[in-house]
Amino acid sequence: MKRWWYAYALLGIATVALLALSPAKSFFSEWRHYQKEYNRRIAELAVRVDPVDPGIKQIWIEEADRIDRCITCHVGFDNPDTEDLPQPFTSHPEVAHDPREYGCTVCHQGQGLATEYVSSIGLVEHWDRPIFPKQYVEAGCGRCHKQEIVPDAPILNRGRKLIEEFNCAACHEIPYAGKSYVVPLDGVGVRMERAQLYRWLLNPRAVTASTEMPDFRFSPEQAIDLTDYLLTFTKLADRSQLPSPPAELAEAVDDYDRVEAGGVTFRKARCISCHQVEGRGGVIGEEIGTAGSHYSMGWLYQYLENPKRLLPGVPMPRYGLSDRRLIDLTAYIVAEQRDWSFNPDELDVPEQRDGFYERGEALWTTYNCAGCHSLSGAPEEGEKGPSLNGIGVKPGYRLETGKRVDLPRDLPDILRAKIAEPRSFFENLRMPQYAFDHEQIDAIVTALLSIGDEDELPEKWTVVPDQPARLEMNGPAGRLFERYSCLTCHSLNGRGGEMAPDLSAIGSQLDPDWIRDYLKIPFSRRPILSERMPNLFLSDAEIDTLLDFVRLNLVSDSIAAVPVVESTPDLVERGRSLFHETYACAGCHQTNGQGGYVGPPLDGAADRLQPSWIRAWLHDPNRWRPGTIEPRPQADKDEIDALTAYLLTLSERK
Amino acid sequence: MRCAPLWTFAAISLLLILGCGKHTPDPTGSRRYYGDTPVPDYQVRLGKQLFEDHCAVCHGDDGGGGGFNSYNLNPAPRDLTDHDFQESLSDDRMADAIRFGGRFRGGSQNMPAWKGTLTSREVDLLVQYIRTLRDDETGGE
Repeated sequence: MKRWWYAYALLGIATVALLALSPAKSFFSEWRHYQKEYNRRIAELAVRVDPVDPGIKQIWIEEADRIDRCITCHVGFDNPDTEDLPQPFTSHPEVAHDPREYGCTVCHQGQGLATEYVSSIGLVEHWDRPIFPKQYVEAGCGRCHKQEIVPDAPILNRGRKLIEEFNCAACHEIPYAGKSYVVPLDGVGVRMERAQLYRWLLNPRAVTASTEMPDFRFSPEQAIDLTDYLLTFTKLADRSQLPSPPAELAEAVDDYDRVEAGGVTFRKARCISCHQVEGRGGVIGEEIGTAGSHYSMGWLYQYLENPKRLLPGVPMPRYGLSDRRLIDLTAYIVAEQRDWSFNPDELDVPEQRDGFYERGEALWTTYNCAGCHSLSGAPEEGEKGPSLNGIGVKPGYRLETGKRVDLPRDLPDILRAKIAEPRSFFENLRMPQYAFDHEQIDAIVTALLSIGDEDELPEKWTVVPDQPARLEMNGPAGRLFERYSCLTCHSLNGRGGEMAPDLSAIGSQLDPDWIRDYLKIPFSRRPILSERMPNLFLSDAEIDTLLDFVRLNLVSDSIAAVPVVESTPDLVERGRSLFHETYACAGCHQTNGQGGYVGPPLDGAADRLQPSWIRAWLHDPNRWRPGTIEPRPQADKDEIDALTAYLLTLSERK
Repeated sequence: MRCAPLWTFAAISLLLILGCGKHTPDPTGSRRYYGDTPVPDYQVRLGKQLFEDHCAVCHGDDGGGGGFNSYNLNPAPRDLTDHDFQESLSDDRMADAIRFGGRFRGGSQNMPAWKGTLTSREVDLLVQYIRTLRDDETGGE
């Protein structure tokens, strides 16, 4: 019996000793070490920083039901004076949301309650939301800002744009993802030759390097079946047959002078503002350096005559070309814009195989061609890929990685590898091969990681901006805007393209006579740009209609109200000095052949610009053109008056 | 059975000791799948974006001073990769040159002031990026 007593006594002492260990464990804890280190380091700083009282610190975000203890070690996070200290002591960069209010894990993920490094970043079992690796940190912004362009999150914005541009939502369900325009395939049977279409389907990028169409890695058998299937669709979008081109066209192709004349029209119409030719030009349209051999001559002629009839919804304007110009232009493209390196005789195009229609249709459905291309008569619903709802919170170990045993079981890395090489995971995946570079993949992964749970954060934090009402353009001016696709490049009241200046206040900006001259013969005020306003060959009546619309609608009352002071020689002189010396305007704008090329030359500014606009613009260029490179001069009122007076002396009119 | 409490104690102690064991994974390092490309630093990337948006037209994409706007400018834009130039300027001075323009340092009248356009954080990011352009650091890439 006594021996039991000894045993119990021993056990009792051991328990007390163990209990004594507990404060010791706290004393030697990781966070205490960091806090001591912090106090040691701030003592060495040139500025006085208050030392931290030992203890666990936390931020409680009641609304989101979170407690973040990250600041136990990141002690200097809210003190700008600790900027030069290393992690975890350094201050948090200035961001739109104060970390003291929103905590850490709302944006960064990780385990807020943890007080040890490894657990806090969430790289532990049973914690499915590890911290975002730094290169994807903007994903955090997207958890609340679900749709809009997020300021200060360029990588997230780029990723969302890429997802829209490459139509990921055609196959995957992606919340709030938009889709972009892809050409319809109606009439593809009369649009392309068999060899061309076959070659295209084998690998589109081998034909046109810049195309957004991915490589589906079709076998030659699959490609030829799909080719023959597609070639059966010969009716145009309006269900009519392709009319035959004028007989003159075939002759014009062989006529040097007419081809040459077509080349002049090609340049006047500024086709390369939207289309690439030999690696140069705009990106709105597709590369057309080889259009002459890619498309059939008859189809090209009809397309140039009325693009929107053949490809409904295409952004290409319908130029006001005369019949002769149209024929010359087609002849030029057919004769000159060819793929000289491709010889159809050298390509081994297989014979048509029995049962091609059924197999072609099966390929059409399996690879969900209808997700991007419309084609009446073909199945409208294809097989979709997995939904990407909530992909950003899916734990890596729940994703199938198949053959990719080299990958860590970690979500960002798996997404990365999947986007880079989809078919490396399983043999018969349907996802095609894209040609993204590392930066593009970073951006896409960031955008995917931003897709969280619906109920992850308080609903009232969610920002989904109202879609502005679709701009209805009716009447004569509306029809002109539609025909000439003005809003492909220009924007109007928040709608339209980004390539060319916003038109919303153009009537307050530009002199009407100047606009008239410009629409007749557009010329680039910035010779360095390849994306220039094309000559749309407008008629005088059309220009009148547009000018009326500009005068009545596209004006800003706030600019009209800006007063302009009377000019005096002294004022002009002061403006000249401000222009050339103080504000370095000549660094970007030319006057008398001197100065930079970034901004438009300002010779003739007085003829082109309205006085009140100059004043309003100088006050804050970014207000009138968001994202303009022109710095805000922060000039005071008198200086702006002087600059305006000086610019108004720059006239070229006699 | 007599020694059962002792064994239990030993087992608990062992577990406690084992619990102290630590492994420290690296959250940003090698485990990121990137192939042979080094992971670009997030802040440098932001700075690069700002540089391309605001500076590259004159100073060139590589910072060498050969942007398309440079040809007609006198004095020509600064070669930012120049080692001596970078050495001659502290971070604060460089930030001020961006904020207040070329005249501030008695330099080119062609460089405008950016203080009305860029926030101080953006200016800092730019300085950080411009430092990576120094030719002795990146081997003049």
